[in-house]
Amino acid sequence: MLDYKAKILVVDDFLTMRRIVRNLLKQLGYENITESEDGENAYVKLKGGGFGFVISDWNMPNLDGLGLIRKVRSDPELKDLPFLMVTAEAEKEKVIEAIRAGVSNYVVKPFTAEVLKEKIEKIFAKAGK
Amino acid sequence: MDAEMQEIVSDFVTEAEESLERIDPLFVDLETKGEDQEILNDIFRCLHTLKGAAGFLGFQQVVDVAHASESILKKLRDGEIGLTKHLADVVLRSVDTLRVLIGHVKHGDDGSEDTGPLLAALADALAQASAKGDAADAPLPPVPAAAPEPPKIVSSSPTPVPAGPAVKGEHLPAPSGPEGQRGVPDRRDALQNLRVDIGRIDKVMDLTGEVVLARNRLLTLVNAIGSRYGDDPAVENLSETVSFLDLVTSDMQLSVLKMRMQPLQKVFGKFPRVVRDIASAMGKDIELKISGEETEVDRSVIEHIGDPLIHIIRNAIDHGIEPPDVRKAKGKKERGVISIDASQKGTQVLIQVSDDGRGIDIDRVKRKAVENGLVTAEDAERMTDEAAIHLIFQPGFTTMDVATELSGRGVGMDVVQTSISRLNGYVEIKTRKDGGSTFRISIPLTLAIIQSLMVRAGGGQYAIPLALVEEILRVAPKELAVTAGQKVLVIRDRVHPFFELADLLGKRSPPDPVYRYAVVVAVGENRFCLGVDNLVGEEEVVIKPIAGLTMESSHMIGATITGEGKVVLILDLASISRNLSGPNRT
Repeated sequence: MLDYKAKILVVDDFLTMRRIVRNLLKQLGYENITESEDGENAYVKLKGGGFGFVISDWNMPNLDGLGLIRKVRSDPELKDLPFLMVTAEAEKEKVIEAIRAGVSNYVVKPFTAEVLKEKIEKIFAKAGK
Repeated sequence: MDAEMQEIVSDFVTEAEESLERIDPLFVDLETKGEDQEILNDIFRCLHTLKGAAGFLGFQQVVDVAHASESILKKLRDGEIGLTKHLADVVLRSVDTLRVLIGHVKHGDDGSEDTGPLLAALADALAQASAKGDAADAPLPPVPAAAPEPPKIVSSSPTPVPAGPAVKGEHLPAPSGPEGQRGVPDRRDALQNLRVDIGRIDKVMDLTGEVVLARNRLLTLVNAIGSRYGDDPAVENLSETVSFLDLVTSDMQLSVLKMRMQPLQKVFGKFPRVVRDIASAMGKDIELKISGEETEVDRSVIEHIGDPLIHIIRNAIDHGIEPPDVRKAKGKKERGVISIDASQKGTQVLIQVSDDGRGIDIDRVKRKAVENGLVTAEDAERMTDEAAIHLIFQPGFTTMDVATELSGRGVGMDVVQTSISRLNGYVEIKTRKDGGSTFRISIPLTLAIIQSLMVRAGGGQYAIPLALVEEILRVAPKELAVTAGQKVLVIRDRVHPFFELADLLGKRSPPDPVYRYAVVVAVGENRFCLGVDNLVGEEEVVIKPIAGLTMESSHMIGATITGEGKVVLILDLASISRNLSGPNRT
């Protein structure tokens, strides 16, 4: 399971969404949360090191979620970083694209703290194997 | 958690409003430039993120409307359908509805709207457009995204950075600096903005006002003590410290004022849509030119200048700009032009709205004013053109025999006048037959603090906003002449009407002394003299509104506390000027 002290990066261009996700994470007991407002900025932060988990929105200016996961996966330092993608609707084609690009899992908006918890647990159960 | 939720909701409202505000100008851009992928994607994203967050917060109506219009945008973006005027109209309608829905969220009134017809219209428009797409005449292929234009920062489309307005103004050329930096600098700037609740800034503003008042008192006291115990070294130290405090306070005041300043873009950004809508409803072809939108003004100005400006624009489209065929017959370009320009002039902000339409027919204005019973025929005859134009600001004035739907029913231009003078500003009009009209609006940069001239009249002390004072003269009663029952003062061959301030304020004027002072005031084109008993001095004052006072009839804009700790009323010269030049004055 993800350590409650783990550094988590929340990526979304909409401030409200970042706050909502942050709030949900807090409800689950995570405290160490950092925010980014697009993929470019997120990548720079991730390169700074120390992150244990990323939750990223898909549709963002500059570099979108798909671009970010591709960049992360092709970076030797970050290639194993657990990455949860937030998508708007369950658009099948898109999800497949995201999974191909290497996301650890995806979650459809809107979601509850329980759903988020489940997703995180799944990701880390897989990673633990 | 509850307070947290409330904060999230209030953030959501702010962000949603910002997103929606960006859509209007983007759409107008789209209609003028054709289908641009970038713009389409930008609009799509606005609706998309709005929908996402609204979903979390359980605002189902917002989700539904945003979803329906987002679907249209998605198809437009992906080139599956082409943009038609009908599609644009229906999406813009949904933006309006979203605004209303967000308004409900903002006010926490649990209100809902009947979104059924709109949703149906959206679905309908989408179905129609898609059907067309399937037919033989496929829509033109969208502008290929693969040909990136040079970064275009068009005045009417704010850069898509969802951060505060501070970033928006940065038209700096991109730093061609260090190689591998991947465009990070911009982003960092954006993150250095801090969203602060306006209530907190207002609180700081308020407290700063109090500090300014205390500083003024302190300066007065130090002067008094200095003249009594001037040789005491402690007093010298005190006065040094106080003058330091004086400087710092002024700087602090300026910094706080700047915190409240926002670029006029926030208001001007709405105009392209307004002009588009009105022009198309009136069957007129109009180009809107906007400049100077980066000019910053106080937040309260931003909040209150929009409506009067829209009124002026609406009038320009309705009454000013001629229909295309008429323009053609006059040898003008068929497309009319409305230009809006803002600039800062000293401590004032100047906003000009010009059109190249038919101009205001002054004789007609006079005739209508007589018909509407606003002036007598003789008065109208005697009136100068400048004075006559201002008749359109009289409540109840209308030139339309049948009020058009847009310009209202004779309620209108007087609202412009009132709203602007509420901001301590004034309006002037220049007009030329067939050459168009220009409305010049002048407003102080800030409403909170002004330089004032302290005077005494009728036994009381008053503050006169210094920005409008032209000069001060010492006059003897015999220098005043009387023409047509009105006291006048001739200054350098120009005749200025002269009024006793005490009379205007309903006080008894004291028996004529040997000398008195005439404060020459200029409000726009209107110049006049106010007779006062004495001059007290110049002082920077903080305007405090007076609860329960109807400002217009009292001729006051508020009150302040002087260095001596006295409460003094601040004169509203714009309202005084209006009443003096009003046609009903005897």
